[in-house]
Amino acid sequence: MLCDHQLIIDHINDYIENKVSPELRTQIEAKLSQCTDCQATYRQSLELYQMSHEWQSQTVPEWHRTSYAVRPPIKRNNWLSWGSLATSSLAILMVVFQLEINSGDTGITISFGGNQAKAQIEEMVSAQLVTYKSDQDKQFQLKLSTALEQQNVRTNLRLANWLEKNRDERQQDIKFVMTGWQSQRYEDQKVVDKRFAYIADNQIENNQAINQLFHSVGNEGSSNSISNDL
Amino acid sequence: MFQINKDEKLIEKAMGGSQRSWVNLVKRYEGLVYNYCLRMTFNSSDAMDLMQEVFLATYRNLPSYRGQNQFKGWMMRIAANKTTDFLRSRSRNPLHRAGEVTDESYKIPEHQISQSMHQDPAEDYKEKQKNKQIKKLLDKLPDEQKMVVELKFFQHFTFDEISHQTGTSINTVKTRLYAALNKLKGYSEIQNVM
Repeated sequence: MLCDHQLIIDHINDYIENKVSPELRTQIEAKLSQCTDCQATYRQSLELYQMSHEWQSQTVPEWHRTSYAVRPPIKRNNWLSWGSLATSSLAILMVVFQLEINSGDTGITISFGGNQAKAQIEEMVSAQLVTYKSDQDKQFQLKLSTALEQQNVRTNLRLANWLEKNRDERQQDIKFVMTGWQSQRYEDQKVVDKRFAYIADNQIENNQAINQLFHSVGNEGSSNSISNDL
Repeated sequence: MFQINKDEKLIEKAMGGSQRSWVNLVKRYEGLVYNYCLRMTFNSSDAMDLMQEVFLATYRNLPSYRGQNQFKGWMMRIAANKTTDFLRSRSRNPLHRAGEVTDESYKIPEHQISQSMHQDPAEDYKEKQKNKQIKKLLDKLPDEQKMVVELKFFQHFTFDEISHQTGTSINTVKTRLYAALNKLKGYSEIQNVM
């Protein structure tokens, strides 16, 4: 009869461990006596079964068993949670009622509704404006005086430059006029001298002509007297 | 039954944020998971990483745990999934020397030596050799067959539970187990001849 070894495979471990019923045991033993493959399977199973009991269990090395796993629950004390609740509520109420706490020269002032803050802000703004105005005035005066000083210095410098330049020009002009006048005077003198020379020449010629005239017209006495008068 | 009820209580408290309950729950199962991971990965460092991944996934999925007193099975299903992912990613790593069980891979971390060592060095050696032999044997199997053998012979789950944990049909589980036994049979015969 052909054996499919199914019975041995199904129950071999239970058979080895004596966990099968007497009927099944009989069937298995009959199968084992008939089939050499089943016998070999049984022997190998028995060997493995014995080996499994010979295995010397190894101790697990020390390792961290919780680092990856359990997150410790967060423990909170009751007073802490109540305290945080009370603080949160108080903060909300302070926001809702616009609680204001101010410290000034007169001490600490607590107010609700935000009016004090508005008045205080206006007062602060006006004080800041006054301060700003006085600062601006001071700055303006300072800038003005600085600008005037600078302007004066510039003006004086320009005036000095102008005077210096003007004096030189006048001197040059006078020199030019004097040179022109002297040259003109020299030219005029030359013309006058020339004319005087001409007149003198003419006078001499005239005198000569008169003398000749007298010589020709008069006598010798009269002509001598005239020439002596001349 | 008492232990299962205790599991349920610890889970309930851990979900409520109790660190102590979670640590107690982990301590109950970490040995089981660690040795399971050790047999599946053949490497104490990998086993440690895998175990941590399993417990992390377990913790994250606690809200989806439906109770019914099946915490171990539910957790081992997560472990099976994580192991499959881990072995798959490791097989893609070219630096991993697949199929080797060396003394180095079985090296016990130094911080663990003081805990695991017996007074008798001969006993220590014997223990180490036995575990190494088991690992060598399991190392001959493909990952899916190795997992079925692990769950059947070392965790003692039923075929139905293994099917549920691995997400495969019962017939597939049986086929894989039979194939694994045949493969190991051949290996044992070679060992006996040598």
